[in-house]
Amino acid sequence: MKRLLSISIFALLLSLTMQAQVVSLNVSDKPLRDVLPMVEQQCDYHFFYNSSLPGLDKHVTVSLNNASLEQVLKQLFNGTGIVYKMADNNVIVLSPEEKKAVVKTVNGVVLDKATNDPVIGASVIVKGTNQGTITDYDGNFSIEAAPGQYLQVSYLGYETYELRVIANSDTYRVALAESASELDEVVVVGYGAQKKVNLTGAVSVVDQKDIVGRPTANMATALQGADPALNISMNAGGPGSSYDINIRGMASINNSSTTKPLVLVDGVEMDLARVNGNDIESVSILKDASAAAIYGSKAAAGVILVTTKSGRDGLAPQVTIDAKAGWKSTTTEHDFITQGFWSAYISDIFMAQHTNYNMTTYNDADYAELWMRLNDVTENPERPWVVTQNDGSYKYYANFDWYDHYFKSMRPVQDYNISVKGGNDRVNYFVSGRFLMEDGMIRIDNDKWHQISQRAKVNINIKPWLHYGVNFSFFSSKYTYPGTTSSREIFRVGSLHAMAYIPATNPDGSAVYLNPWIYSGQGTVGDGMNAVLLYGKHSNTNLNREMMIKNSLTFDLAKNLTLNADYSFTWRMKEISNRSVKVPYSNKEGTTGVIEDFHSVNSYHQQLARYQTHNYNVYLCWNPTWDKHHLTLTAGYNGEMYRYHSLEVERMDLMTEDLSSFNFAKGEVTDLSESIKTAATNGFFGRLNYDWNGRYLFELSVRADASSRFAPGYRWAVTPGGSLGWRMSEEPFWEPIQGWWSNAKIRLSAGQLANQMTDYYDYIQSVNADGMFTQNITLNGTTVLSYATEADPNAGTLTWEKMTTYDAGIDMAWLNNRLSLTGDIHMRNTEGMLNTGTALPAVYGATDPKQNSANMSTKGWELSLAWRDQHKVLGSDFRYEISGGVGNYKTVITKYNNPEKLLSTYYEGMVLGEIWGYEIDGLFASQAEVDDYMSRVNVAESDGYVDIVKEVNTAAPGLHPGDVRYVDLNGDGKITPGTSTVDDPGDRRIIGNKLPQYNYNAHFSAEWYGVDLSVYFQGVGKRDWYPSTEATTFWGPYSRPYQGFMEKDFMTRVWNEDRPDAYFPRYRAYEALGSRNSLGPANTRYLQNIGYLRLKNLTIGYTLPCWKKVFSDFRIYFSGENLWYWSPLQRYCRSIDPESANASSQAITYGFAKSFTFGITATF
Amino acid sequence: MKRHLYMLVLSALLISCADKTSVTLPTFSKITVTPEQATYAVGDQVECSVTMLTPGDASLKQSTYWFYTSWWGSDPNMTADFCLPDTVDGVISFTSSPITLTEKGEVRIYFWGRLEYPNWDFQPIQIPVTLHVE
Repeated sequence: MKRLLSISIFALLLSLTMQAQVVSLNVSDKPLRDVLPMVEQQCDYHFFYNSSLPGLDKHVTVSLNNASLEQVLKQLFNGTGIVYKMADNNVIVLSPEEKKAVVKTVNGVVLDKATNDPVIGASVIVKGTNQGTITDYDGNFSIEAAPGQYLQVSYLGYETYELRVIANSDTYRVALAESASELDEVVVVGYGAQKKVNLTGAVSVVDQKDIVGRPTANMATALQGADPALNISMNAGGPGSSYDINIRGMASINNSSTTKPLVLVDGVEMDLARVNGNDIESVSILKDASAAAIYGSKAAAGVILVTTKSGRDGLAPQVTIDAKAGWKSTTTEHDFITQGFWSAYISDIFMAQHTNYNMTTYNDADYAELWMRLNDVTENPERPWVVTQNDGSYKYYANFDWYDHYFKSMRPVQDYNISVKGGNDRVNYFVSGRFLMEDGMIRIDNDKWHQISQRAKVNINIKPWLHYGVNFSFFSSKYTYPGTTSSREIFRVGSLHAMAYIPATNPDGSAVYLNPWIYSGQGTVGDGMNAVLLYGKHSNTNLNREMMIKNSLTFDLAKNLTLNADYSFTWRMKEISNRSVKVPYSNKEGTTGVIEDFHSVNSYHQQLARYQTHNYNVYLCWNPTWDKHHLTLTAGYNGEMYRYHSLEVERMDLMTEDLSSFNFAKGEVTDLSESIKTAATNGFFGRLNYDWNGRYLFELSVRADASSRFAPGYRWAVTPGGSLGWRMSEEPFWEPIQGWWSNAKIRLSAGQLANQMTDYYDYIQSVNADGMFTQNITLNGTTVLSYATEADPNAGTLTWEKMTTYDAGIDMAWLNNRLSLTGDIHMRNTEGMLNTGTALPAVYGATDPKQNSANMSTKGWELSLAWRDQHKVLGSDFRYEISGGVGNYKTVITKYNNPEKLLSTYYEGMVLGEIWGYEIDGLFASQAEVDDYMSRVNVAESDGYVDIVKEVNTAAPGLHPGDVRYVDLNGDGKITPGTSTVDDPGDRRIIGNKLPQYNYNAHFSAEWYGVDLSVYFQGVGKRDWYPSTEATTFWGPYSRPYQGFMEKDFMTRVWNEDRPDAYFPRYRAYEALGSRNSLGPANTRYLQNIGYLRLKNLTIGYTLPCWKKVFSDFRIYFSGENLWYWSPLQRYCRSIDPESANASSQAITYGFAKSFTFGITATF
Repeated sequence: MKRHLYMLVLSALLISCADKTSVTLPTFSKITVTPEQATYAVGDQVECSVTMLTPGDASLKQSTYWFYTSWWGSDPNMTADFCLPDTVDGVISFTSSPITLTEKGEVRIYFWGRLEYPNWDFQPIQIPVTLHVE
């Protein structure tokens, strides 16, 4: 009440004060801006206003004498749209009049700009509100909006259009232009960019949004399955794991590790593992020779072009921060046997059937001890897991989980990204940084991965005709891990003799290394890996650093004519350090021993390797247009120089276990070696693109390359490529169906590529200099001569392998590009692959030299289908996309110097990847079946090839019910491999193929009310794998009866009299270990299909509608990688990921990981 | 409709509560300790016996029975006291060897059994008794 009174008194006083101010004003048709100072001169008030205030320039006419200030102001501002407010300190504040919005009905029609056809279902919303509608069948809409408000009109495949509602118009006509993303989308191709619709080669584009933000350290995993033609398989699941990659299958049988697609990041060769996915603007995959030919020497296996983001003109500095954290765990189950009773029992019964004795020396009393502890998850004081014997030795009755001892089930991962971009008409820039930190799965002395990426791109328009660009990137990764040199070693040997009845430590805390309770006297637990890890003094570091700097100049020489020149230098350093020490253990109370094997030596090893690449490009682009003729001519030069230098040192006996430096080493230098390799290529290239009215398309390219890897005279290779395209949908006759059949294009291409990825000096006969110091001739104890060995002679005529490819493709779109289809069939003939050439007479005395002697042919197809649409759902646009692709290929050797067609190598007609094996038609169900088989098949003659019968030294010699039944395919009365030729394969036939068949992907994404969802599946339809003899996790005790990682329900798959339909045969140790044992050779029964379907990525995000004044975009999200998979392999083994089976026939790799991450992305 | 729902829920409960063991195990009496006393002294000797009440599933392939005490676990000289069934007038019983009580306090004596059924199905029998030793 008191406050109200005070305000009233103040208002009264103000009014009185104003009335006390007397003003005389007499102006005619003068701008208000000029009149205000006149008023100020006559009173104590001053006007405060924004000089750009609308209405200030309005001309006013006022004639008042001795009027109050209030009267004058009222008349002065009448009709100007300006209101005033008296403030303290004699200030009059002017502001625009707030007009009351008058909502009215706005009608309109939305049409296609090019065809004038109505756009049905287009979204029309009042910007900034949830109010909206969609157009009807005739493209009409009707919506309530106030003058001054904006209407936003959008439709899939068209540029979004905004219009301002004005007071004096109620009807609008909106012409939507087709969006660049559909028709004018520009695709980066070799030395340039082309409109997607004008492409004539087989080029596919990976959508940026499918990559950015994925929680992966390695871009290769994000690209896995991105295109059906792209085959990427990881070699392990650990941090920094390598990967295999090819496009449309292997390009050559030689150097499959180096004959990989050329990956160019902003035109510079780089490994996908060292690219920050958040920096990527686009990825183009050049699949056929016509597209890749311009890259020549290194593009033999196709090209992947990665373009990173850039700043742009007119963009205010924009900062984007992306931070995510989460955890990883293995994709597979590891529910292994952890009960000591079972681990001892199974190894004993398997061993007893193999020999005449058990694996362990445990008697009934020991088994009783194990049985009583069967359900003791932790040690019960009444029943200790280690019992010290009278002589001080230890006896083990544990229920120990070795997998859990070695490996973590969950491990944290953190990933932080920041980028800044912007620009004006002179300079634009993009700068980014990433820090990624990930724990590995090794629990003891945890392995860790740290990764830093930086990129800076600046483009400067020095002159209107001169542009300069600099692109800098830096990558650093550091992987530290415990144990021996290879981090894989722990997965390979960690489980050996690591049986559940043995714990990791003795009661005095010492490491368990020897198990004396087995038939052979002692087993080395984990081959010493347990003791090595527990001691914690072994350490290993893999350090990778890569720096790239590229300077480029573009000269606009004339209209449509530019000259581009760039130079890039890439420097990479790899440093590997391995420290090992002598490792103590104990197997008797109060005593300590030292492990005496290669895992336990006091040594320090270091390798330093440097890779340097200089790359130069100079090329001219001319793209004139005459009427409907469009021409682009590109011609230039590309040169590359490469140098590799590696220095490796190892020395023994360091004085300390805690410091690792050669300064502390005083023992023998066991390794001091250096390796230097250099290579250079020079290439000239040219490309001509022509299109007439975007309807008839033509491209011709040629490249001539010289490589230092071949002898003078054989260095040059010329690789031409050409392609044709016809956009039928641009023809006049297409007009009647254009409304529903939006795009139709046919592509044909042919071209040649050349492969130089042989060894660096294959054409030169080398001398083994290393031997000069180690190989001596000694007479009477005196070295009289040191000598070097000479390699076998080489053929100096070696030259390029040539790949000729043919591609026919279609690009179709229907229903305003909502439904699209791309299909390709392709063929690639690889000729002149380096291999053993003509067999020379034995008198030649050396290995037959290599020649360009082998050919192969690959045929395949790909199909991609996509549906994109949007609808108004509950007042907001619901945009969604469903897409999928599938592809397959088959490679056949068409020429190979193997006239006998030996199966041990390639032969003409061989399908690459084929697996030859025996046929097993089941397990013997009864002795009668065994007897019948024995009457037909002479098993004694079979032994030595396939030991289907154990005749000697076994508990149960001979064939028995439960044994596998090999089929005598050739009917010769015995099971043999014949002469191992195609014509005489014995009882073998082709039973499968180890290469991936039917790569496929499926993607669904949707956006609605700020919520976005992306579900991405990827898989391989079929891929065969025969578990190798050391695939211990699959075979369990059939391989080694003393390996500890055995699935809990393993025995439910093992045959016995009660379980005649079991998968595995009668239990017998080592049956899978020997290549001639009954499970050793590949066969139909145990061949596994490791095809899979994987939920590669699931992302759910929400863009918050708040904080718009601070953030232009603020999104929270969950992203999961490899969250789920299905594979036929799971039926028999759930602890092996199908991809790790592919990576290693033993399936012993760093576990493949799934990840769960939560993150935010903020842009301001 | 409601009745069907109840039956469905009841069936689900029964299935989930059902013993996963597919065989019927033999049943045994409690351990009889001879001599039977409220407390024992260190150095006393006892004998334990157990009687089989029902034989259980006929598919039993193999069985092993033994007595064991709580203080033998850390003693390398003490092992399971295996015993064979003793059948008198159709009654099957198991009797331990004389057990000398060597520790004060509450000590336990167990009757253990390991029974093997088809399909690698091993089942345990465990019957404890606690003695007070002063």
